Amino acid sequence: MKNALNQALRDWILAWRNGHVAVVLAIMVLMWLLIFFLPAELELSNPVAILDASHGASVRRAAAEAGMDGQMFAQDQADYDARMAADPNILGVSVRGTPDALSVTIEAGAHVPPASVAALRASMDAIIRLARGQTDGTEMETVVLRPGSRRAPLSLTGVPVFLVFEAGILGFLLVAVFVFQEKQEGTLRAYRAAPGGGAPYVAAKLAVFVGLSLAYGGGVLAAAALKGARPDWFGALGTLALSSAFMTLLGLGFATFFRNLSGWFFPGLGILLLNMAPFFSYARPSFNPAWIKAIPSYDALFLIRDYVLNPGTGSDAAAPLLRILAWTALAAVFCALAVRLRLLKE
Amino acid sequence: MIEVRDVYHDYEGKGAYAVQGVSFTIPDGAIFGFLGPSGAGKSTVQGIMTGLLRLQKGSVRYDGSDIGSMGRSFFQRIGVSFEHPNLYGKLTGYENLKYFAGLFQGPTEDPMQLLDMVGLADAAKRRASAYSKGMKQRLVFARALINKPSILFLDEPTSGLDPATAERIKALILEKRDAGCTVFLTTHNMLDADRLCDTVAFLNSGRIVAMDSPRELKLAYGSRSVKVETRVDGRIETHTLFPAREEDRNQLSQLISSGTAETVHSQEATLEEIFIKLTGRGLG
Ligand SMILES: Nc1ncnc2c1ncn2[C@@H]1O[C@H](COP(=O)(O)OP(=O)(O)OP(=O)(O)O)[C@@H](O)[C@H]1O
Ligand SMILES: [Mg+2]
Repeated sequence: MKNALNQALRDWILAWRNGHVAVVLAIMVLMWLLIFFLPAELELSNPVAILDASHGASVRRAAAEAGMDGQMFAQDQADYDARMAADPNILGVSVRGTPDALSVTIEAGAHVPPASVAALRASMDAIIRLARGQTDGTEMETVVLRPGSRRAPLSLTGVPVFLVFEAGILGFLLVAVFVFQEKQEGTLRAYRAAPGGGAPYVAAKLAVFVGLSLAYGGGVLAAAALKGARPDWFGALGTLALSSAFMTLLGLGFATFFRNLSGWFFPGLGILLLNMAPFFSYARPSFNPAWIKAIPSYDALFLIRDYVLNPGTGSDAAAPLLRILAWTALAAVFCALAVRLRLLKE
Repeated sequence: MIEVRDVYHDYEGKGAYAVQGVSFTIPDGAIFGFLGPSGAGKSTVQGIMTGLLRLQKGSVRYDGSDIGSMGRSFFQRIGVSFEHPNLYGKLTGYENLKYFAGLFQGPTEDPMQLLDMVGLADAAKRRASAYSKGMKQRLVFARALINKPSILFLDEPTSGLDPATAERIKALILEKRDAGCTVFLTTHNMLDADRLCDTVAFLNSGRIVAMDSPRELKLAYGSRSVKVETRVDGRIETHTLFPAREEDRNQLSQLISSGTAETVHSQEATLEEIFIKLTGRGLG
């Protein structure tokens, strides 16, 4: 224990003097900026400008009745033309004629996706029927699912991603940097001629990288909390610590197979990219093939999402937690063997 | 007691032995000097004896126990200094020692006191990466002493040091020996070996070619030697001959009578000359 603490102290000093702590803090500040300054929503559909030049502005009235945003309506032809000229992605609708004989023109630039045009046609159709006083008797109602869970603003949706992947990179890459430095300086040879042993060596590195991840994670979560998130701190940081431990153990074991960072670079980058693949499932939930679900960071990402964005409403956390635990145990065995049989042998 | 028996080592597994059939015994409390030119295999033998290199063939025993059967406690009682200084450049001299001391269970030396002993007290708070080569060398030497070892392995501890500092290190080695420490000392320097070692072994191309106390070696080859310079076809050759040996006497008189000898110097025999005599090569 004294031995492991002594080594952890050494690794903390090295992490500080190597600038690793500074890098982690800098990334944390970057994440703060993203959290604070990313807009809550991104405009996902094309903007629309509508000119209602019909008699009595019946379409405009009907639209207001249907709850449409009045901002879309141009005041007059000049306003409409100005809006159309200002934005290449805008869809334009101009309505003329009398309520009984309306003529509707839709203008769209070549960039505008046909689906957007079709959607606009359909909603204009409905509004015009409303303007004529026709309804087809269909009742439409919107029901909110999982009413307890709030829709997360975009700036907070990113938080689980910032947490999980950063912890992965931190553990996996920086631990390799440490090992290669010790190999290159030859301090590992001196270590091997002393009764240090494998376990305290690994434990010291774990303490540093899990500690760094927790400091970083705590900072990012605090920013999220200031922005209105009500995270389950214990759950989120616990999962983060676990996935950071997994990546550190994996990274330490993995680094023993290489002589220096340049040999490690492409295989190591491959593993890091694989670890980040679940991001695509996160961004597009419909993309979740079995192989992506099998990547440990997938479970960590969605667990942390529930802990950060929907605390209390999260589905059963036991199964994914157990899977991450099992992966971490596996990584620990791999790391212990690699350190004993490779790193601390010639 | 350390017993090394018939040790071979092949780095690449292709039958090219860096060390072959090396055997020697070091009694407790003795300084055993391992001498030989660069590439002779000195560091390789130290590597095998400290467990850093796997024992491929032969045996290494400490007080009768095989090195392979000894657990981590073995490392509690040895101190190793390496030929290439291997330190944490980002840690200060003091931190390097303090950290290393933390790896041991028993009592350890005070890092500051050790730094003072090797003349690094003023540099204690500077990072090791800012040390000169000789300073690093001394720090590595100090580190080898941190756990009060009973066996010291020193791989060229004085190479690259100025004479005054080298003296200091040598005095420390003798002090350790007098305190009961067994020392395995690797060196290029015959004068150091002569002064420090109870026994020296000459290693050449992985084999031990002579082994005895410096005194016995010099007695066997005579206390005086003669250096003869000859000119053959305009080229100058140097011969070192020991008049105590019959064949050398014959060669000497032949060189003189044939008239090829240009200069003849009589001098005190040194280990270096004996080594050259035995191997046909210097220690450079
Ligand atoms: N890691 C290695 N891989 C392959 N060959 C090696 C290795 N280390 C040493 N050798 C070879 O083994 C032989 C003995 O090397 P060793 O380092 O033991 O010599 P040495 O006597 O310590 O030399 P020096 O005085 O230069 O330190 C040399 O021929 C060297 O080329
Ligand atoms: Mg050597």
